[in-house]
Amino acid sequence: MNRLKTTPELIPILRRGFLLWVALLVFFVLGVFVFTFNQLVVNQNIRTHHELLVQTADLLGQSSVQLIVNRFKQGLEPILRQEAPALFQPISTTGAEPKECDLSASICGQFKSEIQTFLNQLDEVQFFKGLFKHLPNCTDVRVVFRLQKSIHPTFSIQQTRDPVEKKGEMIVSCTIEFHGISRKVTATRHFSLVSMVPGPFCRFTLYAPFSPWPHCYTALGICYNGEVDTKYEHPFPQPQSFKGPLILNNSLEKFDIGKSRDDESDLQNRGWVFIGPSPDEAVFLKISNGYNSYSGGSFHFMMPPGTSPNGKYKVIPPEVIEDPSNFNQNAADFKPYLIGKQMMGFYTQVDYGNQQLGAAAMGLWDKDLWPKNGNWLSTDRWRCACSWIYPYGNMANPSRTLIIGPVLVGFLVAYFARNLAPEVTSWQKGFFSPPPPKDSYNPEDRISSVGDPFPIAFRYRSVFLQPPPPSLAQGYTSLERVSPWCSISNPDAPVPTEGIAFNTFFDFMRYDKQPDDKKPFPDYQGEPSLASAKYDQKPRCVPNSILARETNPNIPGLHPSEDVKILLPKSNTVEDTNQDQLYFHGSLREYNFPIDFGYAVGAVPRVTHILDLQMLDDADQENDRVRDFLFRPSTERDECKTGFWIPRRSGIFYILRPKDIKSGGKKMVLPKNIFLDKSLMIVSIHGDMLISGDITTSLPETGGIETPPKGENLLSLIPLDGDIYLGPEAKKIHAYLAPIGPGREGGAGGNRLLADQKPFSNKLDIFGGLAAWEIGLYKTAGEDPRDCGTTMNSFPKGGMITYNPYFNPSAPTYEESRKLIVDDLHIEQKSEGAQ
Amino acid sequence: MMPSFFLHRIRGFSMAEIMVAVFIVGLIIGPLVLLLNQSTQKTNVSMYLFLAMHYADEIAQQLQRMAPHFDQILAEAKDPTSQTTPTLRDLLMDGNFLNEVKKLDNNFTLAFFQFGAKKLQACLMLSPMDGHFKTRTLDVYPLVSQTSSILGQKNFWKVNIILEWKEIQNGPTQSALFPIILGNP
Repeated sequence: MNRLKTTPELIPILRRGFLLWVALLVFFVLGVFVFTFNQLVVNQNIRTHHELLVQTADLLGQSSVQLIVNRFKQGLEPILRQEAPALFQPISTTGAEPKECDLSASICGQFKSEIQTFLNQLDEVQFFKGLFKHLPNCTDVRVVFRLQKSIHPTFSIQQTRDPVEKKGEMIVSCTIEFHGISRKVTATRHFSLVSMVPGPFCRFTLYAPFSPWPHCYTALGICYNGEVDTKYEHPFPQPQSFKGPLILNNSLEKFDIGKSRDDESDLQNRGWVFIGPSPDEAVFLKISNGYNSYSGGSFHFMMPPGTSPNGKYKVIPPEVIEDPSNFNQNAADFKPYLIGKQMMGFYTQVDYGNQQLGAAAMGLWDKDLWPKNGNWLSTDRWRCACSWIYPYGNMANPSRTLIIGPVLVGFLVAYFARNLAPEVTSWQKGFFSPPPPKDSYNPEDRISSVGDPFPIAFRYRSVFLQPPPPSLAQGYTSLERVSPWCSISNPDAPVPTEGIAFNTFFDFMRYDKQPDDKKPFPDYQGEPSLASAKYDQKPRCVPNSILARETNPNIPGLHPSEDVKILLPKSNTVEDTNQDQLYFHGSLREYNFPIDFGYAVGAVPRVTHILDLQMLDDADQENDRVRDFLFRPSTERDECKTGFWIPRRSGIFYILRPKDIKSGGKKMVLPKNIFLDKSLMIVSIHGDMLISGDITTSLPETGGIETPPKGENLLSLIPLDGDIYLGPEAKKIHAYLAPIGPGREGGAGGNRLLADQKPFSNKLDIFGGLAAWEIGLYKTAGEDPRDCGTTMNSFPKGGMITYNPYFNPSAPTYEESRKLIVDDLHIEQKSEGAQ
Repeated sequence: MMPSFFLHRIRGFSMAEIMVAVFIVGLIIGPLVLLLNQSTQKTNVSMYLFLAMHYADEIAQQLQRMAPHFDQILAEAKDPTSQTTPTLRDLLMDGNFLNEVKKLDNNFTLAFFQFGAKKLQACLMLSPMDGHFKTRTLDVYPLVSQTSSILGQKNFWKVNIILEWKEIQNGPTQSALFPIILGNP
C-alpha cells in the first residue's frame, strides 16, 4: 500500500525528458531502418552493376558461341578430320558408354583469338577510358563432341552401313571476362555426322534394276561410220526415232598420259554400271559400229580414216600369228598370209548399197542361223539397231567401267584371211563367218567368201600350213585364239547363252592411248598379239578374264547382281574389320531404298531435317515452302553472284508431302537455277519432283570458259515413290537423280526419270549419276503398267551422264562426303560463373 | 472516473522540451529523409537498369537466332533493279525500322524490318516499354576480322542495343548499352 501511495510522486521524475527519449528512440529505430534500407539499396545497386557486367559478358558469350556454332553449320569437316579425328571413327558397336571427343586446343585457340579480335573493337562498353580502360576478354573456348549412338549399330544384309555415321551432342562453351567478372556460356546442340551419299546405287554411273526385256535398250539407228541414223524408226513399243545415244562417262579423268596405271585402283575409282536383268535373265547391249570423227561414233569398231588401202572400208587390222610351232612357216607351200577377224558393230544404214537392211544386208548373219528359211524383211531392221546406252563412253572420251547385270554385249564378227603377197591388196578379202564348228573343221575346205568381188579363196591348209593330223586340231586352236569370242545374233537363242560378257569384252580398255595420236583405240598393234604368251601375262582386273579366254569359257566376266559387296575404302578412320569395311552386301536387284532409308518402319535415322507439308493443300504454297526451307537467293558476295538459289545448309532433308498426292499428281517443284556450294540430300515422300532449271556446281561462263564442276558439292534427289521430271529449261543437272521406287512386286512399273514436256528438247547433261528403277523400252505398250512412257521415250536425243566420283563409296574421296550437321536450335544454353 | 492523482498531479511538457524535441527531430529527420530519397532514387536506377537488360536481351536473342537467316532477309530487301545488296547495317539502321523498334506503345510491337520504303517479312517482337523509357535503338558498326579467319569469310558486325530512360520527368537521361556480335555471309 505504501508503495502505491508513493507512485504519483514519482511521475514528475519519470516524465522529465520522456518525450525526448521517445523521440530519440523512434528516430534511432527509424535511422537504423533508413540506413539499413540505404545499405540494401547500395548493395542492390552494386549487384545491378554486376548484373550489367554479367549481362554484357553473357551477351558477348552467347554471340561468340553462336558464331562458333554457325561456323560448324557452314562446314568445317576438313579441319575436323585433322583436329578431332575420333569424331570420324566408327562408334563402338558393343553398346559401351558414349565417347567424348574434344576439338583440339589449337583450333579452339584460333576461335578464341578471333573472338578476342572482335572484343577489342567494342569501345562503347568501356566504363573507364585511358589507363583504366578495360575491354571484355575471351579467356577460354571449348568444343566437345559427345558421341551418343551409331546410326547403324550393326551390319545387315541389304542395308547400307557407314560405320562412321553417328548422332550426338556438340557442346560449345565460351568464357568472357569483363571487369573481373567471368561468365561461361555453354550451348548444347544435337549433331549428326552423316554421309551425303544416299546408298549403294551411288556406286554406279547408271543404276537401273529392272529391264523390261533383253533388247529394251536396242533402239538407236547407226550409220556404218558411226553417225546416228536419223531415218531409222524403232518399232517398240510404238514407232519412234532416237536422235542420239546416252553416253556414260564413268570418270572425270581423261587419258592419263605417260602414267602407269594400276588397274585395280583405276576401276575402284570409276563409276560402274548396273543394268538389272530382264525377265529373261540378261540384257543385250548391241555395240554400235563406227569410225567417225572424235565427236561421233562408237570408239571401238573403227579405224582412223585413211588407214585402209582404199580409204573406204576401215577395219581392225588382222592378227599376226606368232605361233611357229603350229604354223609351219618353213613348209614349201608357205605363203605369207595373215588370218584375222573384223569385229563390227551394229548399224542400220551403210554409206552405199542397201540403206534399209543395215548390217544384215552385208551378210554378217550366218544364213543357217537367221533369218531362218526366209527372206530378210524390212521389219527386221530393228535387229541391226544398236544400244541407246553407250556405257563405255564414246570416241571422244572412252571410259572404262565394270558392268553388273548380267549384261551381254552383242557385236558381229567376220573372219578373213589376207595374203600379204603384193598381188593381194584389198583388205576385204575372204570373209568367212562365223568360225566353223570344231567337228566340221577340215583343212582341205576352201574358205567361203562373202560378197563380191572376192576372187581369192583359200584352203585352210594353205593358211595354216599344218602337217597332217592329229596336229590339225592345233590349227583350229590357233584360229580360236585369234578370234576367241563372237556374238552370234541368233534371235531365237536363249540368253545368256549367246553374247559376250561386257566386262570381258571391255577388259582391254586400258589407257595407253596418247591424246593426239590417231591410232585406233585400243592399239592392237601396240599390244602383244592375242596369240602371244605376253598377252596372257598382262594384268587384267575383270574377274575371270583370263579364264574367259579359254576354249569353253561358259560366259565368264558376267557380274550377276545377286551377291554384290561394295566396300568402303581402307583408311585410317575406318577400322579394318570385315564388318566396318562393308558398305553394302546383298542383291542389287532386290535392293529397296525406301526400306533401307527407314521409311517402311517409320524411322529415318539418317535424316537431319524434316519439312512437314502434309497440312498444305496449295501447290504453290508447298513449292514456296520447299524453296525457302532449302535454298536462299544468291547475292553478289556469293561465288556465283546473283541470279541463283543456293542451299541454305547441308543436310539430309525429308520432305513429307500431302498424303493424297500420288505419282502423276502435283509435282514438287525445285527452284530454277540452283548453284551448289554445299552438299545436301533431298528425299520426298508422296509424288513426283520437277527440276525446273539448271543445277550446277560450276560458275557461269565468263569469256566463253566455264569453270569445271565441283564434285565435292553433292546433291541427291530421291522421291521415294515418285518420278523425277526435267523441265524444258533443265539443261544441266549436277546431281545424282534417284527415282528408285520399285515397281509392283519388284517388277515393271517402277519410278523413272521423265521429261516434263515430251519429248525432251535437249540432250541430257547430268554430272552425278542416275538411279532409276527402269529406263528401257517395253516391247509392247501393254506390258507397261504405267502410261507415262519411259526414260528412253522421254529423252530421244540421249545425252551424257558423267559420273561424279565423290559419290563413290569405294573411292578415297568418300570421307569428304561425310558432313557434320548441327541442329538449328540449342537443346540447352546456360550461362554460369567461371573461374 | 479518472484517478485523482492524474487530475491533480499531471503537468504538460514545457515549451523548452517541445522545442528541443522538435529541434532534434529536425536534425535527425532531414538527413534521414534525404537518405531515404536517395535510396528511393537508387532503387529506381536498379529497377530501370534491370528493365533495360530485359529489353536488350529480348532484342539480342532474336537477332542472334535470326543471324543465319540474314542473307535471306537482305536478299528480300534488295532492290531488283539495283546491282547492290544492302548490308546488315543498312537493314538494322533503317530509319523506319528504328522507329518501329523505338515505338512506345503499351502493346507488344512487331517491328518489321524495312529497307527504304519496302517492308520485309521478318520482324522483331518487342515488349511494351515502361513509361520512363524514351529510346530503344540499335547502332551497328562493321568489325574487322583476322586475315585468315577461322570463323569463315563473313561480314561481322557489332550491334549496340541502346536504351535510354528518365527516372523523373525533368531529370537527366540515363542510358545503358548492350553489345552483341553478329555475322552474316
